[in-house]
Amino acid sequence: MSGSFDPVTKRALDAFTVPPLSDGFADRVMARTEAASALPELPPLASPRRDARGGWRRSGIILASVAAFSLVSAAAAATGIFGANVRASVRAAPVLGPIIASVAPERPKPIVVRKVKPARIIAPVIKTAPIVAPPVIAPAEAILPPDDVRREHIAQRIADRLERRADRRAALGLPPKPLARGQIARKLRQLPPEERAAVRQRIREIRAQNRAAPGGIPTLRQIERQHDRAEFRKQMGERIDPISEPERAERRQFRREMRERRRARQELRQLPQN
Amino acid sequence: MMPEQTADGGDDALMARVATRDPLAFRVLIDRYAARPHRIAWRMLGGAQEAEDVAQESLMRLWEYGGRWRAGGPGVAAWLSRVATNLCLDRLRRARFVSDEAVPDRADSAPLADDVIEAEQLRASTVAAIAALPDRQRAAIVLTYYEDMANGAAAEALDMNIKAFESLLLRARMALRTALGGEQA
Repeated sequence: MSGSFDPVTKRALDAFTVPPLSDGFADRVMARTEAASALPELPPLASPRRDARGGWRRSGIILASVAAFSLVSAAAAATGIFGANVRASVRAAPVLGPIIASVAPERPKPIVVRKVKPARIIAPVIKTAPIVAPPVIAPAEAILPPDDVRREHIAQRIADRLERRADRRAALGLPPKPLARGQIARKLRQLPPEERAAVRQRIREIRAQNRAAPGGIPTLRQIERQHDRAEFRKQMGERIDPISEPERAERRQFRREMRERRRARQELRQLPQN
Repeated sequence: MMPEQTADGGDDALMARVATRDPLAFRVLIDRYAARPHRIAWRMLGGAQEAEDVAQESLMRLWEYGGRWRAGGPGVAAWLSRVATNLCLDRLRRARFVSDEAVPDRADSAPLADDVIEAEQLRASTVAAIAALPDRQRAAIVLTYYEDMANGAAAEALDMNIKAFESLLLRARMALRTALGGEQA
């Protein structure tokens, strides 16, 4: 080992000398060994009391657990969780049965109604008598009020609401709200036929007067329509063939007929259902 | 430095007698091997009192261990070296934990007075250089150089594998060469 150092290092290391052991070292060690041997051997440690108590406690816990588990299992079996056979045998047990019966009395069996399947007819059916139609059952609608009554009721409610709204506007000092086109048409439909015809006649007269008047004020709708037509003509140019006068009259006649038909249908709808 | 030879055919027989609490046999073992743990402790710890304590403690452990001794092992010398080394490492660790006294990092190279003899100067430098080594490097040098133990036996005494021990020993040698002004490897 000493060969791996150079002479300078080796010389320095060899200078680290150690003095010999002090006198009487061996005697002191021997004295210690004698003292250690002279010590009496200690008696073995008594087993701790905790262990004994722990044993009893552990046994008690195990017994209590087993008893609780048994009781719970027996109660579950008595209520029929494990089936009818187990339930009957548990209830018939000499000790457990009365205890369980006192804790969980037997419930009455629920009545089970089983659906009986209709017997399958294999033989051919022979018609011996004419089939009698079953009695007509009144539809559910018969219980409800007739449609016209309901419609009247609804119309009345709407009219009341509109009237209240108009009153509120008047109370606030606002002008009455102009009716929309659809509302006017609806009101017109609700009028009796004679009054409706009179109103329509009056409308036609006003329109004719407006058309005849040279400086008549056009309505906003008329202005819009004229503008749209002018724009349309400008955009399309000569691509549209002008409609001849007889064709225009034919179209007018067709529209008139369609209006008459629609009116007839509406009147027919408003007739009593009987 | 002539360390004692460790292999002795009578070790097992003596330990068999120690197992029967024979003081004479133990006395023979003390006379034969007590110097070894003392030397190791002296060089590891650097104090006469502590070295003697470690040597006594090692021998007392050998006395108590007598009943469990296994024949055919490396011998009492190796066993005592191992026990003494571990006792020294424990003491060094405990001292470092309890005391905040710093271990000198480098050898004290301050020139001594002219009238101090050269040998004393050299010894002091070596002691300081060895004391400056980390604990396990110091143990490696003490076991292999001063106690002339083989690397395998020294590694076993320090509970290390041989490769790790050789690496440790190499680092210790390099540090010593640097500290003592020898030729660089």
